[in-house]
Amino acid sequence: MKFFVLAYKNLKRRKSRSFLTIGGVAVAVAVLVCLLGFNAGYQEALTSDVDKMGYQVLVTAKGCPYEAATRVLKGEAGLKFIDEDIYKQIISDPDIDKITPLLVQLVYDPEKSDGKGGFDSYSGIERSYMELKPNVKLKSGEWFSSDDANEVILGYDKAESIQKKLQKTVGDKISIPGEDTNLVIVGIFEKTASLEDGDFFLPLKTAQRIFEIEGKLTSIGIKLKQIDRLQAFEERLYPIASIQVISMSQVKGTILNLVNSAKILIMSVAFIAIFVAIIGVINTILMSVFERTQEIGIMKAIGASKLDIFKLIWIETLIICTLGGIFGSIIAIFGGNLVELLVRKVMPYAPGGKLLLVTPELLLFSFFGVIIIGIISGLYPAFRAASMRPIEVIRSGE
Amino acid sequence: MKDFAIRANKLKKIYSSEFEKIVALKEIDVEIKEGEFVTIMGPSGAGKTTFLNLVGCLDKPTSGRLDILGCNPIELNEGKLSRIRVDKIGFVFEDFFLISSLNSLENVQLPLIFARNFKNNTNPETLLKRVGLDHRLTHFPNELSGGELQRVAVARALVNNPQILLAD
Repeated sequence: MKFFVLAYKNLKRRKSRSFLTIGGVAVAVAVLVCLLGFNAGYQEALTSDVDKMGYQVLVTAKGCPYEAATRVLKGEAGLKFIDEDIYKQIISDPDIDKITPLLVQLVYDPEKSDGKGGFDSYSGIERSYMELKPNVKLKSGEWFSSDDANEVILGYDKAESIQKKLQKTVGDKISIPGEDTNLVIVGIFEKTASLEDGDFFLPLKTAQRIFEIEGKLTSIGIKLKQIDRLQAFEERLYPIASIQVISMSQVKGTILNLVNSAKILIMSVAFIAIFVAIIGVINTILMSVFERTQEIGIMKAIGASKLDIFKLIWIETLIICTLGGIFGSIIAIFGGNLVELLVRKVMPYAPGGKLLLVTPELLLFSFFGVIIIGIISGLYPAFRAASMRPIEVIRSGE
Repeated sequence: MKDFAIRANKLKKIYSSEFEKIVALKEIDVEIKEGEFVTIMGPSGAGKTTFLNLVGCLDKPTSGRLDILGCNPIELNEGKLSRIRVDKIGFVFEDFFLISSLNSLENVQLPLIFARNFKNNTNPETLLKRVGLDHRLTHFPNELSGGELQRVAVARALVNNPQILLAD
């Protein structure tokens, strides 16, 4: 028999208490893993979303730049329209590498979400859209036959849902809710793992005609030849009073700053959970030490040294924390998807891709973190147990 | 001539409380040689257990000299006393003091966990067989009779092959 077996047997004796303490540690670990995983995942997903947009710069109508950028990131309509003439005016700017006009409209579909209703996003685009977005490729079908054809290309997820719901695919016709025009599905985009996977794409002129906003755009996506020319580019557009230039890196930074502010609050909650778990571990082990006063005294009477008792109590703490760490990691791995689902519902803007990034490094960090906490938590109870005098126990048993 | 295993000179133990002082041992002199078998008799409260606790290095005397196998336990620190307890002394307590969560075999194995000198150990199963409990190896203390508990306690006291066996 070894110290480990002896410690394990002691914990097994008080199953309910040990189980609840391990549960407390597991919850604290799961919370920590999920929060740190969310932080890393959100940052990566947002960066990926912004990179996939292909634009470094967005020109929109004047208004709150971040709200406008977030709406575009979410695939929603802009705040206001800008004249298409502005696009024609800036297209020849020497700093522009690639440029594309965009018209995004939201249409209410009463049949969406199993009859609950919801908005669909229709994007009016030109071929230059594909040049700006290297990850957007046609999976099947082809590009629009003309600039104002009544045709539609579906995002990957949208194509799947239409195939499932209406059994329609490339070559079939669909209609826009509330509009008379029918659109022929001419193509399906490959999966981009962004929110655009759920969109309808129309030729720009078709979208302007159907939604009766001819000569208008919601935004212009631009890639500059050199991003450090942004300020000079911005200054040249300054005289156009009705527009604003938004750098996507600034937007990304602002959103991350907001998320980081929320992170401090969330991390405080995580540390409270960990603190409560530590108190729980100390309490359980200390109670167990007090209840086993006689046993510890007997062990010392038959030769256990202070270090032996210290080691025994410490191993018990470590077993609790190790099991808590393992179960917490399992909860985080399997419960993470549920947390992601909740976060997506609560957050006003959640980027596409995986929001909760539970990496092996993160699991190891949390696991070893809880072991260190266990080592610290076990110090006091172990010290109390080791300090017991055997004679007091022997005499109390007389 | 054999060496002394235990030698006590004017050994005194007083238990002090807030209200009174109880003299448990009053300057006793004892000499016990290696290999000797000694029985201490006396009425309840005579100080037999107090004496064994002092000889067993569980307690320290109020005054006097004590020599256990050439060591003076009064001058030793807690760490060295625990080494003497585990390597040189076997103790059968009056109430046996077995660990309730461990079975007979595990109770006898327990001192081996704390022992540093493994050369002198006796196989716990062999010891339990010698005390006639080979059929009770996996039984817990609450499943044993008083006599069986005592025999497990004797086996536990002998497992490290002690030079002194104290049985209260």
